[in-house]
Amino acid sequence: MDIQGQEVTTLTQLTSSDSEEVHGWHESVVRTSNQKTESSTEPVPDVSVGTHFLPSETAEEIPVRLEGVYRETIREWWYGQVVKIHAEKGYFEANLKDQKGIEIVAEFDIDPEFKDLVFYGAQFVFYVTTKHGRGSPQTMSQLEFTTPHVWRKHDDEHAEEIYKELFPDDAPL
Amino acid sequence: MSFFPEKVLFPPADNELEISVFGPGYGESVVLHVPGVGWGIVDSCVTKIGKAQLVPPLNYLLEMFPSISPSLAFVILTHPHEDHYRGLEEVLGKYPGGIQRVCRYDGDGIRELKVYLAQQRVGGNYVSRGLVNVFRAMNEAEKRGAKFRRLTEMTTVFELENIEIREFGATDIRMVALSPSARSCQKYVEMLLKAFAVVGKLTVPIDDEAHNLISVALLLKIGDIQIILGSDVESGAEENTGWKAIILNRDCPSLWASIVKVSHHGSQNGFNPSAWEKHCEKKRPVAIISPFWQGNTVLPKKEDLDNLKQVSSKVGITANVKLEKNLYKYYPREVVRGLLNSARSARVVEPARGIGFIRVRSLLNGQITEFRAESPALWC
Repeated sequence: MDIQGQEVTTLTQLTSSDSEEVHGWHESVVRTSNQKTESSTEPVPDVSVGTHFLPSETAEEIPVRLEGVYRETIREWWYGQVVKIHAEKGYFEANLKDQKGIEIVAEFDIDPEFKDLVFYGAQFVFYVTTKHGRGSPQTMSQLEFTTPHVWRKHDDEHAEEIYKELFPDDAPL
Repeated sequence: MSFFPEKVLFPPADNELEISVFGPGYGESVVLHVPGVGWGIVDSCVTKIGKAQLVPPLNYLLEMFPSISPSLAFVILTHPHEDHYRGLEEVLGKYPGGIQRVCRYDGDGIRELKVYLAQQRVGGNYVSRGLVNVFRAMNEAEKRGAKFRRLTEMTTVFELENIEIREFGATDIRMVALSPSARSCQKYVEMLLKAFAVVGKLTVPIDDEAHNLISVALLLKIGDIQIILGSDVESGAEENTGWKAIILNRDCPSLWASIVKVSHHGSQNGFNPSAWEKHCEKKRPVAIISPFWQGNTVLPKKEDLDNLKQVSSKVGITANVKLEKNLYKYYPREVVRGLLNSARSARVVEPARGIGFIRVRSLLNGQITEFRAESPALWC
């Protein structure tokens, strides 16, 4: 994975303490490039190949190994959901929940790079990482939105199956 | 383990009416004791105390009646909002005393809502398992013998005539739904149909506030008392929806009230001056609010509270939603720095320190026997 956030990362199903309420994390998650860094003392060389370990249930620091010199640690991550959009003012409100159940209300700027992904109810993962390597450690933060789903013809069948599973007592669609 | 202080866990007398409103900040539930009818629960909520997740209306009744639970005369879901149905599955499935009557908002949009939920699930959007489970639990309750009823304007929840109540005498007892109007139901279905998935288009969820359209407001009349439970009914975007539709309905009973569970968390959207004029016809009622937060929206706002103080004799609020700006109390410095690097602002929602609730008990002649605000609830 490209640490500079230029590529699409691969995430499998996220787990969380409230996993029943978290659905639909598709394999492809758009990694937005509004990645911001803190305390950067020198330019970070591009490391284009690496292995990204997922956020897990544990709130402990999770190392992200990269080929080469750098090591990235996830310090904290939140499951987020867009609850209000202020398009004209260029920001949105979101509720964030961490693995310990602490809830945060936050406002984020709508970055042109991901403005199409911001709609009421859109889900994302927000995480803060520390990158260790040459020079002093850098604190970074990043939003990853789920890709919006475009309805395809065969999704109708899938919806029928889901309907049957969710409401077994009802007449089928 | 007891979550309520012992001093509150004494049941009302058989001739005493009780309304207890729970609202931890996200969620709302009303527990009623109606002489001659029994106990009932309208909507449900959950809250966390330490590591324990509680369903306040359920815990309240279980702790008040630790050995033999009285049967519930009615359980009502007013509309499919998470802050009104969370925990209802537990109430319906785990309450040991049996349930006589299960009611929910008008069924016209149910099938459409279910299809919408299934499609949203396929689309990967957030779909609460909770609502699906509540529908299922309602079906199960019906199979176990509970009467099932769909509520729309002027639907009766229960009606008893000439019931003898100790120290009061004979009285009629009636609970009736004031909403949703036919137009609201129609609009709601249209809105769901519009949100249905279309091949080649994105599956985007509808705004959560849309569900307020089909909120059920309830009116309970017994003895010399009338209680209005406003649910999330809004003032009405057009003549035939919300409070506007209730007022215009020729069959609507008189809307004077002794106690009002203020609609839509005391917000400006839920405040209809004409409706409040009617609530005040006999005297200014007691107003009870359950607050609400989502994102940076915290209801009621100060000006909303000021409005309500003008039209009520007493205003109670079930919790005080506190958003903590000092993130360092919760996270290490680097994490806060990273968070604020991306976010314009961020505040932690302070968890409740106890199950607060407002309780009013009254004799049927209107004489109040108890006004209680259990912290963090308070009278404003």
